[in-house]
Amino acid sequence: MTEMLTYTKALKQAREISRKPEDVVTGQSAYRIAIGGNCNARFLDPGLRVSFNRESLDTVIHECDYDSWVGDCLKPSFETDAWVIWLSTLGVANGGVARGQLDFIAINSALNAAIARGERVVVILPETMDVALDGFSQFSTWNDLLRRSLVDELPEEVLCIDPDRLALAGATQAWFAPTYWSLAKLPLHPDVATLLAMKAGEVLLRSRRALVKAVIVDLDNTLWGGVIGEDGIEGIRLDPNGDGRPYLQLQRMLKDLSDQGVPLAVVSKNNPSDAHSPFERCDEMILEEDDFVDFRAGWGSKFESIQSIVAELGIGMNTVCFIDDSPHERDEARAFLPDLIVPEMPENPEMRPAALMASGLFLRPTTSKEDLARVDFYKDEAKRRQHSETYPDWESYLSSLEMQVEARPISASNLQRVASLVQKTNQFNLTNRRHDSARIMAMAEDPNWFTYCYALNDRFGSAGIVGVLLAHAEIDAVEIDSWLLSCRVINRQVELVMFDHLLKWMNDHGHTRLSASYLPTSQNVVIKDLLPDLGLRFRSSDDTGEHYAGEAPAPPDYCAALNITSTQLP
Amino acid sequence: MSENVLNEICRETFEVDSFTAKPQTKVREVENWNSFAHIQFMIAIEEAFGVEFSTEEVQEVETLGELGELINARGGSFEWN
Repeated sequence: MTEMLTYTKALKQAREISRKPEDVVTGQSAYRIAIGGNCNARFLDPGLRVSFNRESLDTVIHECDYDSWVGDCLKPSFETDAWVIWLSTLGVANGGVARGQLDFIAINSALNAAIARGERVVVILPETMDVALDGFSQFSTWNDLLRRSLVDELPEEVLCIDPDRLALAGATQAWFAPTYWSLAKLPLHPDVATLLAMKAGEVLLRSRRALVKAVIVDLDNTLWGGVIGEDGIEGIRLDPNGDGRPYLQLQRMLKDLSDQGVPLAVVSKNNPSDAHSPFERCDEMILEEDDFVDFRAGWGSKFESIQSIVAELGIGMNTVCFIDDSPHERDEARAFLPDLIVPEMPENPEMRPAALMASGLFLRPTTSKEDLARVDFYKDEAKRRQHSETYPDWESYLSSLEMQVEARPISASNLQRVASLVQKTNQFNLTNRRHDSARIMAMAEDPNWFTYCYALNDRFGSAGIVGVLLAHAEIDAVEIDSWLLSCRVINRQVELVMFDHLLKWMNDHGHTRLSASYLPTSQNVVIKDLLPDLGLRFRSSDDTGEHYAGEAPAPPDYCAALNITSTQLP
Repeated sequence: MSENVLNEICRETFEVDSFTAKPQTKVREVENWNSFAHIQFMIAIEEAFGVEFSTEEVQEVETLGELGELINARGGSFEWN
């Protein structure tokens, strides 16, 4: 959510932040942002710093000289993670004196160059000028054409921010400020610049890490009006042209989330037959049973069901959102599950969809195909779990899964998924190094690096790429740089297969010594004994972690039925 | 009161440890002054006193005394202690 800060307040906070660097989470490198545009983008600086600092991230901001961002983008003399480019209408209008044009060829060459380097690009779109507000003047026609043509021309990967949308949201009274253009080439009031910067920050943050990875939803008076157990199929309110409209709008939003790859689940205090009946019998329902990865109807406490569902999904409670119209249920959930995200819901159902949108919880500026596949994976996983109840021991269960691990060299074709794992995995993450795509690609192209990702298939389906192992070879010793495994496949010996693969590679290349470090965090306790269990010798411990080194240990024992295949580089 | 606000704005905008405003203090002679900080300073003054200046006023104001008069002329309320 973008909270309103004036420019002056943001500047003060940004300065306080730079005076107290220890507020930032250690081990995370600063996020580098380059700002520029056809106006004075310098005013975006404090808002960007503040938005990142709210998520405990440090930023390094490079200000491109006025109107020189294109050259910097094409041939940068600096490294950056992202660009925020302000293409203002006033800039194209030379302050309102003329009606100019944007050089789309230059803009696209520059932005495509950044995108090719794996850098994120945010563009602040041209605002509607004050003299274009009448809707019919020449400025008005030109302004509309400018915005439309830019949006059409920009590369798909660009994340666009529309200042006019912020004006509609009514976050600030101050808007037009022609004096500031004359004084400092600032297209809108400094407070608006700050609002835009906070929005840009939010978009960049959310494109790295969505706040919500799953949504658990109530049924009565949330997905439909009324109580199915009392009102029956005839009585619940689902008329899209009447009082069912707001509930159906909420269903539509949730369906959209599911289509974007966010798993949905139901927790409802109802008899199961009642809970299922609207899905079976009401045509107006937008959500279908298949849209949910889990459906718990019963009379126990909701928080227990929520806990159980979240454990099965294998994600952090702090990434799960619970939507329930009842203040009592919301409070109980918050009390027992303090990490659960429980947004307030307006009492009036008409206000709920917009309130949920405005919360910013569901902002997902990019969707990669992996998220869509993930929802299917959760459904396969549910089948897998039922399967596990019938086997006498862990080994025979693992054998029965017919697991196959495929080792793939990291390349451009899987880079996006690999980078995603590197940046998002918290539990099975040995060293917590958040390399970006550009760095990973550089490692993959370096013959002294072992860079593999691992895909897992089993009897029930494909989990896709679930593991990453990066190691650096120096003369005879190999050092593990990063070792990650998706928490969904922990405890299936996949890590043993990965380690075995590394040992074979070392053997093939004549490396006999192996070193690795474990950096403990609050979330990776699950692997605290991984290195000693594999036979690596503990050497020392300091604030960069626990260090292990020695002769490469013997290959680990793992379930005979687990096999590994390797793909060659194309 | 308003003089304290002015002192605080000067301290924060120009990043100096302490500041005592006087009517004859020249804005451009304040430590760490530069043309961008000047704009940031006027933005803070506008917000704190609820006023809006013209381009010429921002560019031409010389002393803090003149600034005080400007604030009062624009509907704000500034007084020296």
